[in-house]
Amino acid sequence: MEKTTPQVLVVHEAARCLDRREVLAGASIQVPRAAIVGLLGPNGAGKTSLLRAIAGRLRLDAGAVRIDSLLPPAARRLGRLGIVPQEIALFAHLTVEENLSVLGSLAGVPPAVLRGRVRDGLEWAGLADRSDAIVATLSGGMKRRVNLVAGMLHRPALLLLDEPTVGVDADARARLHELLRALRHQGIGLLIATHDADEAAVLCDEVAVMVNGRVVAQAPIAHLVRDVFGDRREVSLVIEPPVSPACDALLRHERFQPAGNGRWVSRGSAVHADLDVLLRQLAAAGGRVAETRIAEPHLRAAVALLVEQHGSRQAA
Amino acid sequence: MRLAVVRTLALGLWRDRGALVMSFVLPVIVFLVFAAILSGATGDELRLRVVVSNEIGDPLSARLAAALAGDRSLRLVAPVMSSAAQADAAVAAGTADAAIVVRRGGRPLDDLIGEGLAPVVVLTHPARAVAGSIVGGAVQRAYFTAMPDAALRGVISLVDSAIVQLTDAQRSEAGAALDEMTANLGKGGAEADPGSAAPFAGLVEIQPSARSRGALDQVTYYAAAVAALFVLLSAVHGASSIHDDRAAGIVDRVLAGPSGMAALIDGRALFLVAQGMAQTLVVFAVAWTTYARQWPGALWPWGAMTVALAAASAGLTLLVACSCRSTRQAQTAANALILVAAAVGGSMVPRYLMPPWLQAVGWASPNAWVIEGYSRALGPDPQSLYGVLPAIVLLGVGAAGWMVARRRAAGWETE
Repeated sequence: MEKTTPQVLVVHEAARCLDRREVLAGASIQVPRAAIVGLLGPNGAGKTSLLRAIAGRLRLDAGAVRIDSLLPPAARRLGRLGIVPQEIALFAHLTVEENLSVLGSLAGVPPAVLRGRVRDGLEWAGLADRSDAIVATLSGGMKRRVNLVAGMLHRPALLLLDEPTVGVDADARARLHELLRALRHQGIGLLIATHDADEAAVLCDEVAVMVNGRVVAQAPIAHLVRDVFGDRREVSLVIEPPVSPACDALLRHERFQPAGNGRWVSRGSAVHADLDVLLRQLAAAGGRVAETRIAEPHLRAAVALLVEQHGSRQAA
Repeated sequence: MRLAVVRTLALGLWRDRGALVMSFVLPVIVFLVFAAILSGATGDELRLRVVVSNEIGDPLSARLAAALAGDRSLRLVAPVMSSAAQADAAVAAGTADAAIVVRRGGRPLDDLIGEGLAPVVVLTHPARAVAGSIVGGAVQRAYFTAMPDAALRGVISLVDSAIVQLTDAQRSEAGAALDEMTANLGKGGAEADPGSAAPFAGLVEIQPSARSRGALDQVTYYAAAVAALFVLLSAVHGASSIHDDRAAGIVDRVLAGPSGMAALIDGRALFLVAQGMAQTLVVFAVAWTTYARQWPGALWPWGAMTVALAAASAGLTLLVACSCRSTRQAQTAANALILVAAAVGGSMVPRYLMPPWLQAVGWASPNAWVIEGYSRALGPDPQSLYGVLPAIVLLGVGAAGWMVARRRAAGWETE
């Protein structure tokens, strides 16, 4: 019987320079079996580079990748890795069933079982009645589902997904979430790169946050939020314009940042304890506060705070 | 607002180097190629390859052979031969566009009036029928320019025998003969028999080369030429679609599995070979059933050439596609190369009508090898090394293109 490890993916200190830019700067991440891990971070943080390195498409200057204890080429050869690209990576002029047959064959599914795998995949994704439909005629949500089925026909141990629900409506997104949870239930480890922290919060067991080519935090969501915020809260104030220079200086001193439409947000400061003092100081400086909101810590704020703290080269 | 649209399109064109090349450089190249071809076909640069066989060997025939050797529109590709069979073989083999045979058993060169066979025969290949007429004209020009004494000797003989000391009956008969000649000349065109209309036209007779009978005729020549052009053009689409698969993420998906780029390239190559063979079959089937009304006796040499054509097209278009960065770039580059290759390779104008330097350049074009290959495959000796050489060359080119395309595509697997 094959020995299995608790982690289906281990990336250790992955580093790579491209065009004199450090796209990966010692990134480390782990994906347990039967778990969904979200990979969050701003544009340019290195999420796509990390996925490419895991898939063996990006050579590393340093560090290591193991998929099911195998190097990426061996994992690919043995069918342990599946990919669901951000694009609808399907042949638009073929039917759903034809697409799955072709892509299943290219993924190394033996001909003897391919037809059965395609049938099972269609039923699993609720697409059995659309198997003869030309892919170009399907709705965005259905295309995403076919895209997903095509990535798991060969039953990989690890599935990499790049923005798998981008551009679909809420119902289609919920259906895709069901399918992804079903894959987790089957024992597959899923690593999902996404910009959407709210989606990650409802879908993922763990998240990893990338900034400037490094994974600056990886933990179960509740742990990560607690680690980042402690007993602090996110405070937002809406100041009626114009904001006087004195108010501006006071807010910035208290680590508030403008968030548009007169809103100033402070993440992770302990300001909530002394909020009354701050409001009095603002009033004395001529600031008129139209709204005050204290939010419970949540993943989106935690990610934003981590990005701020680690000085992203590009804003989130 | 309209100027904004103009600016947008101008910037788009300026920044799309492929489109810029297609718009401004390609027309110039194609013009230069066609200018060279057409100036060669109609001007001083036309120099057909001929062999001369002198079966008589007397001083008169030697003078004609020497005159032909000095004709600027002809290129003697071999020393004067003594055997018509050798000359015939050269035409059938394609090493000469036509053969000029001063034949044994014809009328003397200084007596073109009497009964008997024309003293000179021009042997042509069915695929180069126009060459026969051009060479026939060159023979007449050489004869009357270099040997006016022989021509006049024939005329004096005619006067001596047919005009001086005529009786009334002879006058009447001659008048009738001249009337008949006039009437025949009046009919004009191709229907009139030149031999019966003008005695001097009896100098030259044009015949198909014996060994090339049944070989590639004009219709089949153009079937090969058109097939070569369109098999290549069609292959461009299939080959360059590899970039569509890259842009769509299909390549990323496939590379996560065991297949690798080789599977995507090999699959395309096999499809393009099958597509090219089917296209060629359709073109030749229409040519043979519609115009030739008969199919060649042995199809396997044709089949081998068809495989070679399809393989070369697949390999070359895949090579171009894998050397480019996008579908648009690949299609632009491939279409430009194919148009130039078709022009210099004989797909548009027969190569024997081109200047010698352009004929030499034409060997770099797959179209030239395709046309030559079908000519040899349907010729008298398709099983010899000579007969299969073009197919071997094309298969080699196709295999090389395929392998290089595989290597280039493998470079996309890992960055």
